[in-house]
Amino acid sequence: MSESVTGTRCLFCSLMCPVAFAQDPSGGTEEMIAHYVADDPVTGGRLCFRGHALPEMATHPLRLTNAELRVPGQTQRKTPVSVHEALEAAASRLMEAGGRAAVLVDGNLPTEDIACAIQFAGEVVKTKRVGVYLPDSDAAMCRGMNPDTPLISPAEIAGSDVILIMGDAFATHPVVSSAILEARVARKLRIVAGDCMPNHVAPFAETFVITRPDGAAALLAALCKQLGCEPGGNWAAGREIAELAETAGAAAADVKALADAITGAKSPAIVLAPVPGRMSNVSAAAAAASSLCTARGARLMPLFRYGNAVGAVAAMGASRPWQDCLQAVRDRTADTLLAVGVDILRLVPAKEIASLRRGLQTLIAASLLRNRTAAHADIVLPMAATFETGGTAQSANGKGVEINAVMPPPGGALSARDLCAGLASAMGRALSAGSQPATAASYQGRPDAPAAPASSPEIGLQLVARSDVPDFDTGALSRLMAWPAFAEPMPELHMNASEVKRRGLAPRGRATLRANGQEAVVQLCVDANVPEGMAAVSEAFEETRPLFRERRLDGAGIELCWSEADVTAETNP
Amino acid sequence: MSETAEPTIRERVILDMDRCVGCRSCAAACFYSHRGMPNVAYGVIREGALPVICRQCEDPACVEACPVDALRREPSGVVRRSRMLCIGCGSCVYACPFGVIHPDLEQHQVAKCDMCEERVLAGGVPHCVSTCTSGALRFENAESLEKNKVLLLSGRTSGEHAFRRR
Repeated sequence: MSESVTGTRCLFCSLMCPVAFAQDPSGGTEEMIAHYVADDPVTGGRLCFRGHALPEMATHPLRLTNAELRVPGQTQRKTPVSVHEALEAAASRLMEAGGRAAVLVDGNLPTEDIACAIQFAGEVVKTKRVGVYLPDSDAAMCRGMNPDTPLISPAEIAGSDVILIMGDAFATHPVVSSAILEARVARKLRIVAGDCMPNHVAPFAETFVITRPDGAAALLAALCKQLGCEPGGNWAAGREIAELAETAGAAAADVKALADAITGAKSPAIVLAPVPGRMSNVSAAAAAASSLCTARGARLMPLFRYGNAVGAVAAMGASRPWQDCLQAVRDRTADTLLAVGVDILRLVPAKEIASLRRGLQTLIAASLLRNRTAAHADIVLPMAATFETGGTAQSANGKGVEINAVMPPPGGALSARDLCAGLASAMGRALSAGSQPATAASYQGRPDAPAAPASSPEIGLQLVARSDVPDFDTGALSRLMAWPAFAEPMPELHMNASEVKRRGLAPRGRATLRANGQEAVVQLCVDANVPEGMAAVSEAFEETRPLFRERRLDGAGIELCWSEADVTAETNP
Repeated sequence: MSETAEPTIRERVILDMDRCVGCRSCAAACFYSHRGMPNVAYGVIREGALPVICRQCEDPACVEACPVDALRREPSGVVRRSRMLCIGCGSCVYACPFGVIHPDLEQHQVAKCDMCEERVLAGGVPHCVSTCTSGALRFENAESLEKNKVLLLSGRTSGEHAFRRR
């Protein structure tokens, strides 16, 4: 085996597994592969599919290494320029725009980079339109959790005797499965779980409660009541256990079974692993789980999709939700957009891009890869990956985690902090040394009241998100990284065999999926785990994300929810 | 021709079916360490997709079936496919009684598990085993399996389903 270089951490989820990079043993190229850090107490050297994809970013064929400026009069044609020239051009456009500019920064950058970008927007560009992109479920979970909730790290989880897992934790964060399953065999750890359909945890759970896709919050609230505590947020005040269980789509006996398991435990733990479009009302669920933990001496393990979700929330402070920046562009109140590390055009339906782009005088994209936003940008700046620049992040329990740089960035690629400093310098200003908030407490403990469950679909299907796909949030990387693209080249729609037959569809054929006023061509897969009347598709594809309903939360962005869908055989093969 | 001499690698990749969570991290590890030619196939059963990995047979049917001698059993015990010789005819796919060779062509060739031979000979374990997030994949030899009284579901070689044939 070739010699490995210094280890860093994978930021593709909140476990932040250590990973070293090693030269491809077959030699002859500069390709790096993930190498295991076997002595790590949490992972024991294990890595999930995301960790393996990390080194690919260093030498990805779409990696941006040069700055580019759009050729005047051309839609997508660009000419390479020096980074200095691009910074000058971007600075001049931002200066002109001033308060009409919007700045969006990705929440999975190091905390200091996010803080620097926010500071740049406020102090130098002098705009109030600054947002930090976070996956909907991460933002909601962070908002709902009480800051005083006792948390448990993955290394400690095996010390519990009963664990309640809400969501498909073994699929979204598979590295936690090792410690849990080890303890299940060695120490008879009891697993109880819930989700809207049998998931990857179900075969290992002694009690598995199937809820509605929007029922996790109500189930946890019913559990709180059963155990004599109040779920946070007061939304469940005065509601009986049976009523909450019915809202959750579960039986009162299910709630009692979960309550009995927790009551008899000495050291219970709750794992919350939401997937947007599969578990709705996440902030209310997190608040209920927090209350349960505080009241019953349990500890909570929130599993975020972004490694630095907690750090991003701490850094964003009073920043507006990222959706407000996007809305400002839609409303034409912002005409210049600087997107730092976030592929914002992936998050809007394809047919909306042209009108969105027309409303923008200037789109500046600082990006790692040549993604959709970079393709439509006027000015493109190459960004460095976190494993090239290093930085700090915060783990799910709020502890600082140092991320090492393991290689220099290619070409003129810059970290977000250097990029903001360069832009500020080109605008004749200097960024003052910003102070970082230490915790996300100011944002936490403010759950949204859950939406009333929508009525059951009468003619359509209930479309929920799948959790078992090689999914990088929002699909920004799912389509660009080699393995996810290989494993699922097009979106797969999973349905029960009888549902497929009833609709006259070919079991392995292609179909047109319609929901939320949008449609997408999908590959049908028969899946016995999906109940009748339900269908599951990944939301990590640009064509499938708009199929899910968006629920607007008060001043706190949106939440992706299940939607009513219809599937027909593909009409235009 | 089959090799009957005692192989130097006596361990094989074993799947603990009671522990696999179906996360496919083993396939990702294989994909990235084999230049985009993943050698971990999946048998989809009612509960989910479980990995199906080459058993490196003592008397491999795939070697016998290969019309261009692209497959051979190494002295180490690993059944190896030569990238330069493979013409992607798929004979080995049909010959394998366990359904572990992926039927789809990758880069115009058939992908075949090499048990990460260099890694194993250097004292390591295959990438899929190293990475297994739930600890379901193990790299063990016959003695340790017998000692630990592991029940192997490997006797049946009939049927059409890739997973059931394990």
